[in-house]
Amino acid sequence: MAIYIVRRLLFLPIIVFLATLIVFLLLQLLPPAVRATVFIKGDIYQVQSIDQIIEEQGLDQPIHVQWYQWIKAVFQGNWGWSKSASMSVLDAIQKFFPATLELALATLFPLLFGGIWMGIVSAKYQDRWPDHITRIVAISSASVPVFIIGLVLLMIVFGRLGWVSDGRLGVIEWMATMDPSYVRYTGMHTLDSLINRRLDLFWDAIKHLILPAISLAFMGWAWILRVMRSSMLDELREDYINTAYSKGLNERIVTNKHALRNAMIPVVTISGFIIIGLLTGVVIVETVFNFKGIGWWFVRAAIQLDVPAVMGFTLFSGLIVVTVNLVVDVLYALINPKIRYD
Amino acid sequence: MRKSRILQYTALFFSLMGFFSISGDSQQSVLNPNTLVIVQASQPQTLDPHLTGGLLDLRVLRQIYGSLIQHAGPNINSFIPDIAEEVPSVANGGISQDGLTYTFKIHDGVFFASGDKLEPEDVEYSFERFLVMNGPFFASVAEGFFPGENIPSLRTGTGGVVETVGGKPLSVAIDELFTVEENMFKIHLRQPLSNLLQQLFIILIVNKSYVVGLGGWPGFTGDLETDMANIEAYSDLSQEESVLANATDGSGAYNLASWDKAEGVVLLKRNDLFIAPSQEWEELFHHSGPAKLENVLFKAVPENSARELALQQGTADIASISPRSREPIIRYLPNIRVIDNLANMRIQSLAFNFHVRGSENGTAVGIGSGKLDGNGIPVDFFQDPYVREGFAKAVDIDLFILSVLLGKGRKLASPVLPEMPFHNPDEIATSYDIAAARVAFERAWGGEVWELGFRLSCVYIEGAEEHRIACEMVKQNVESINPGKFKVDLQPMPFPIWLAGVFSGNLALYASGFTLGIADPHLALSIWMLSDRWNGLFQSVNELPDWSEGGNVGFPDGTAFEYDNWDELITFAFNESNPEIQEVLYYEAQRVFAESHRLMFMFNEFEFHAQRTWVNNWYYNMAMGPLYYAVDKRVDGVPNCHLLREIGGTTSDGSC
Repeated sequence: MAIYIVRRLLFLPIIVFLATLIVFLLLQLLPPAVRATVFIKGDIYQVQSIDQIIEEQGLDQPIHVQWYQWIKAVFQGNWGWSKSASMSVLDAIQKFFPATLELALATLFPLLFGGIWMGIVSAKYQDRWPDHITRIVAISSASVPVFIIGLVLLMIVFGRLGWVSDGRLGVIEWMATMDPSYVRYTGMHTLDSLINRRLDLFWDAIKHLILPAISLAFMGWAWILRVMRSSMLDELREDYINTAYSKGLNERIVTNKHALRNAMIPVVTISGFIIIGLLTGVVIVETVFNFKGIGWWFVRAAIQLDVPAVMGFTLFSGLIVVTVNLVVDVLYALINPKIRYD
Repeated sequence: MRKSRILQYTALFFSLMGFFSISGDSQQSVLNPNTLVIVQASQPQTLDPHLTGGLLDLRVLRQIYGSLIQHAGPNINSFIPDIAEEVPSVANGGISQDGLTYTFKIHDGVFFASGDKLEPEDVEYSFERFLVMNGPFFASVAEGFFPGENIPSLRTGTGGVVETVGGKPLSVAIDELFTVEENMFKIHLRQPLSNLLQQLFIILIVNKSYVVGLGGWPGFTGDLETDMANIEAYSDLSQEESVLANATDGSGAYNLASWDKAEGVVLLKRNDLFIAPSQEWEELFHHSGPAKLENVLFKAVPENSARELALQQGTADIASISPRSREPIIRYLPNIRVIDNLANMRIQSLAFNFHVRGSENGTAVGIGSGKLDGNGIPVDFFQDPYVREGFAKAVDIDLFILSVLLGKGRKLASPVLPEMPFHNPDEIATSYDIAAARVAFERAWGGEVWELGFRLSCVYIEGAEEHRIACEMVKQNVESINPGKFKVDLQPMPFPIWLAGVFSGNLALYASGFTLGIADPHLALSIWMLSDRWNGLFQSVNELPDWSEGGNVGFPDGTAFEYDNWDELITFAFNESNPEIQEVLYYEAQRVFAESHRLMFMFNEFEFHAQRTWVNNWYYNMAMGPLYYAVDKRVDGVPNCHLLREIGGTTSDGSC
């Protein structure tokens, strides 16, 4: 197993940089003048000298030269400047990723446990009313666009009831985090407020996570629930389950201890994809709820053709994808001892 | 039982529907009474006052930094002193008889947020730094300070800086412009500049020792080599590289508390060092002493519906809402006031490109075959005045303003807005006349346009709905004049690609919006009429168009001026110091602009502002936005009605 993990880690940079190469090649389809606009500082003379900018930035160099220059800079710690964020790409990732991570962590619990639980219930009570209800939930979450869910929640909870506003914190609470005495350790308001012993800010951060987390969880239930249900149904039909019952084990132990473990494999797979999606930013939810995370930043950068930001995000998300996939594979082995890697 | 259960559920359903119907809140108590929360779509780009080119930035910076003079509230043609004790004039000796020297006596007792006293040397440093930093507004003021030198930037095309100006080294030329004598700051011009006062309020005053202490430009040392090297270094800084990008020390009512580039800017009021610097200030805003509110928060909320919700719930006090079609909905929400009919400095139009570039390498956009053969247009298609006249008269801009802008806008004859000096009220914008358009097209290119037809694209920015509609109107009306032969395609473009196309001169016909930074008729006209102004940005030629004809005008004193081309007309008007003669010249320029159809479909859309009814003493300034110094929040809040009425603003709640 350890060798397997090391081998996967060795492949990680190759995979990640191949992904960046693909994006880089796609970006080369844009004319140099378009890619140069992000470098205009505002000097009106630069407007007249876009050719000069192209030359200075090497945008007319051969593709492999440009890509090599970018790789070299990355290894030197210079991921470029993000004009859309008005900060370096690394700073932007550091700024926006904690919001996404915080939202992802807040979403994981209702998403996974809720989806798995409903899947189990649905399988156990197949074709009875719990199954019907959970299947309605699954169809709804697959059919209703997430931005509709988000907007409706926002209109009801914020617009009508006034319980919680958009954003990561309320106005006064956010201003409190800007006070010099408040130290931001992680960028995640929940953790930072606890470390700073500000329970009022912690509670406000939790309140602001509820709606976007519910929206995202609702969106993900479709997949988790259905896969869990079908996988569980398959396992419950296996002979060893009958054997377990005949040995006198009760239903809870048979379901949760024996069947569940084997049924989890496909759920782990799909969870991995969902987590990757969460960690790379769910731009719609982040935009609707004004929860400025990495997805929100990336889409703005892409729209503004902020090439350094696009490349930096590609590299970062590539790292996430490969890492999460590795974790998923390791989890397979932990869940099912029959799965071993050379 | 079953029937009653059904009735119960039905009643419950409709109750819930009524309960959850969105109708806004009914709160009356003021939320966050010490903080003014302004939600807008985006963040400032920089807080360096000498490197900003954005009005959004300036609206924040105005709260932090002072300037020599300020606009008198909403009036962009009238000034009140700020850091200077009085607005200079010939009558009070502040402007010399020959118009070459402006003298400002600096207030004693004005302090920066750091506690440093504001000295005339800080003013001198600020003016010099404004030029040295070579920011986006440099070109707007350079003509006045370096007349006849044609310096839109301190940087040259080869990557260095301009070496000499008027035969003197650049550093010496800048240094000599501004001097300090005791408590007076002086500007020494090389020729009279009638619009200097219009430009002063964008030159914000910074604390020299603070800036130098952070590693900013050190000022002129007197050593030529050092000064030129410093100019070369500091004139090439980006907004983010400046030491003042995130740090402030101004003399305004507020100081920067913090700037979270994801969330927004927080300003904190200065309690005891800021004073209302003039009696005029106190009379205008009915307030003296420190700012009324503890904090002003400029919050970036990209999603329009989220901004609306924030306003409804009261977590935002002022919200930037768009598009115009939302206004009729917003104005009827409880506890929300809409202030409408607010003119701004944004000029929107469809622009003709007189020489489309890129036809050789295929990057030209919208010219089709590149020939007048029914499938394209030649690159100089729009040089023919009949072509421009045909397009200009083919579209009903009044209908557009009525139906798309809901009547909240005005068509323009020229970029000299009605609020600007030397606006010609008698110049009439082009009217819709399909018959005249047809006649013009029949004459265009010696009849070839009518006979052979053409195909071109009208380019607009993706998502700019009004521009799309404008292009759509052009398409429908122009095609109807000669069906089958005249073809206009619509081509949306992402903003960066559109921008690159405009800069490169590749777009044949395109919708654009341009916001003037200064209420100066010379600036407004020169952008589109001077042959060497921002080459490629709006003209796409490096020489005068063939059709830039000459003319002559007579002055009140019986003399006359004959000009050979537009450059001569615009330059002469700029250099003239007699306002009566200037008026004649600028009127002539506006006439020429309108009659030549330099642009088509020119309009200025009015703004509307949505705010909570508890916002008190707010006013509007079309150039730089309001000062929030005297704004506060109270249950019975009303805008500053006196100032609003001056500019024709209206309120939805009848408060004015």
